[in-house]
Amino acid sequence: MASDLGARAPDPDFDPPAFFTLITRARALRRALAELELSSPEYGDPSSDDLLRRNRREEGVELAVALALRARTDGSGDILIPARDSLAAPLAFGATPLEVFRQAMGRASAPTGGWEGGARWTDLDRGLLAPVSPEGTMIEVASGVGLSLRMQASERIVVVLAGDGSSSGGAWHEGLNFAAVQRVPLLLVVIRSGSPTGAGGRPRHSRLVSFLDKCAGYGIEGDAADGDDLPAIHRATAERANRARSGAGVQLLEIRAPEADAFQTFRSQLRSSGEFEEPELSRIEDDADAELREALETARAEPEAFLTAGAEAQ
Amino acid sequence: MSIDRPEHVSKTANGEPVTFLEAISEALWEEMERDPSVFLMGEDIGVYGGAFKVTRGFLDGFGPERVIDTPISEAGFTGAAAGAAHMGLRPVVEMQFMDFISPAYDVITNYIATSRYRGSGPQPLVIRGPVGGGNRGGPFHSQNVEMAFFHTPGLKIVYPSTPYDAKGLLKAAIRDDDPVIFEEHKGLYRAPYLREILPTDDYVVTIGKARTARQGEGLTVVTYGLMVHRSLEAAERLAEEGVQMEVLDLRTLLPLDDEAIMTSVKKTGRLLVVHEDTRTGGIAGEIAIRVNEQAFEWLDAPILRVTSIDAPVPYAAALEDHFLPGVSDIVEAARYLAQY
Repeated sequence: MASDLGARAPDPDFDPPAFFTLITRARALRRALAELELSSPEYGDPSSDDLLRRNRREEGVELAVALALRARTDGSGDILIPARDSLAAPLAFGATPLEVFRQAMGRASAPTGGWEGGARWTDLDRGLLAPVSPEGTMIEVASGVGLSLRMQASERIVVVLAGDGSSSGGAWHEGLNFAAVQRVPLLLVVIRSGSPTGAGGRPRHSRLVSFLDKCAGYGIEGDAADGDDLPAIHRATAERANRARSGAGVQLLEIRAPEADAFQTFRSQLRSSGEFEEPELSRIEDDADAELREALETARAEPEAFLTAGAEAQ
Repeated sequence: MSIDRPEHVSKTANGEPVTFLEAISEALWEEMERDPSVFLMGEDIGVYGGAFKVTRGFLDGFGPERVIDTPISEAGFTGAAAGAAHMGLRPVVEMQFMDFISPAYDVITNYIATSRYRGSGPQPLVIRGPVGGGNRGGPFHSQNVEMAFFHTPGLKIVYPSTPYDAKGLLKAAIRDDDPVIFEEHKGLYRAPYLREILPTDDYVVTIGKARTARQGEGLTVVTYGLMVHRSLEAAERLAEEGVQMEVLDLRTLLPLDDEAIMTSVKKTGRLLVVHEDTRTGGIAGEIAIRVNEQAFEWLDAPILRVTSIDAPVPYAAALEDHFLPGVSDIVEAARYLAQY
């Protein structure tokens, strides 16, 4: 379906219904998790409200990126390394709300069996590789994933979603430099949140106005997109992904700090463009809520994680 | 996959004795030949053949896709090894000197060691390199790094003392699905007294099993690496005094072979732990508490340790000789225990 939602030229591959469905699910999931954490101290921390606010802006970016990649379920697609608190991008790569609830509640049935929280687990069939803290480490790891893909002459690429905060660390540099030297199919998406840890502070990470200025230093290619222009992000991601896929080496995509609430903005635009009527949008939202409620109840009823024999390493 | 082997990695096949270093080279070569998923990364390991020439000739044999000269970037290429391990490869990373593993501490402890726990699957990779003092290398080319990682669940730590074990344990490490830190003492690399003829068959040495390097009834020395040989020398001296020292070579530090330690301690009733690593927080402390927990009633004397002193490794010969544990230190401590 064509769209004229962005400020730039239309992106023929940008699929507003798919986008709206996913962002609705992501929004509902994050809200449910936040409520869960705030009402049940054992599940979370008080900063979750801050994270909720920040991610209202970044969810749109994550989805616009993820939907431009090759998400598969049989191990033949791209490999996505989300940010630590990503939800939307993992959903686009096949993670389910039920799995996320199981993770959050520390259920035995969770993908990590209670050893990690969040949407942070690895399922290479779905192309998901779990991030750790500090996040800059993941660029080092991604360089090796990309190296393997290059060795295998694969058309797959590895994509890292990162905030600008991690760029101040040594791991960011070492990982990016190694990947550049080895010319691996890596797409690094830097989302300029302006806040290094999500805690709300706004120290500067770099004297550079644009991260694209770093590209020359590493000998890599790059592009930038406005954080509120979702079709533009989608288009730029697809272009950078294709460059990486075709052997052009590491690609950097800078997303300038989004300001708008992606969900609300997108919803309004869908209405005003005349492509969707209110009942249709409401139905998508109701479906997401119903899925979430069912998943939440299922996870609640399941047993907590327990230590199995052999879990102790030494 | 069969590749023409250079002469220096064909000694075992030719029935010739090998040094500790050559045993390691043979293990790497044979594993790369056996399994195409094995590849090497490190600083100057390709064109130059490595600082100690462990990988001399490998670039010609296996090409630049499997013998990768990296930037000086220990965190970067160790992290890359982690990523490659996810993708079904079996990377072997060389630290030019193990002292330089410290920049990679984050990715090893936070990422690699936790991977299996976090549901991110196994990390079949080896981080290997030269350790140890005695070469006047000073504080940054002489360290023993085992205890910086011993406290991290999810890792294995191997530290062989003979060519036979080095080859067999390195092969086992490469085939292991868990990450292995593999320490090679520089003082053993070309030591003439260690040259031995190795079996021509494709053997491995099981990780996690100690070996009795010398039988004895008088007391037990638990040790590893170069200190195995210092301890054996001490044992010969004490034998002249009628004290028979049993020397247990741990070979693997993580996981520790509790059974072998307890069996020996229960036999002798006396325990001396010897390690080249520094004293505080050294492995002697962990071994002592395990013996306390599992074999206290069998002890006839306090547990003692002989170690390096708590300091960076010094450069000057006089300082380093004082810093490192010597044969006379072991003899003195063992004699005290035997007479206790």
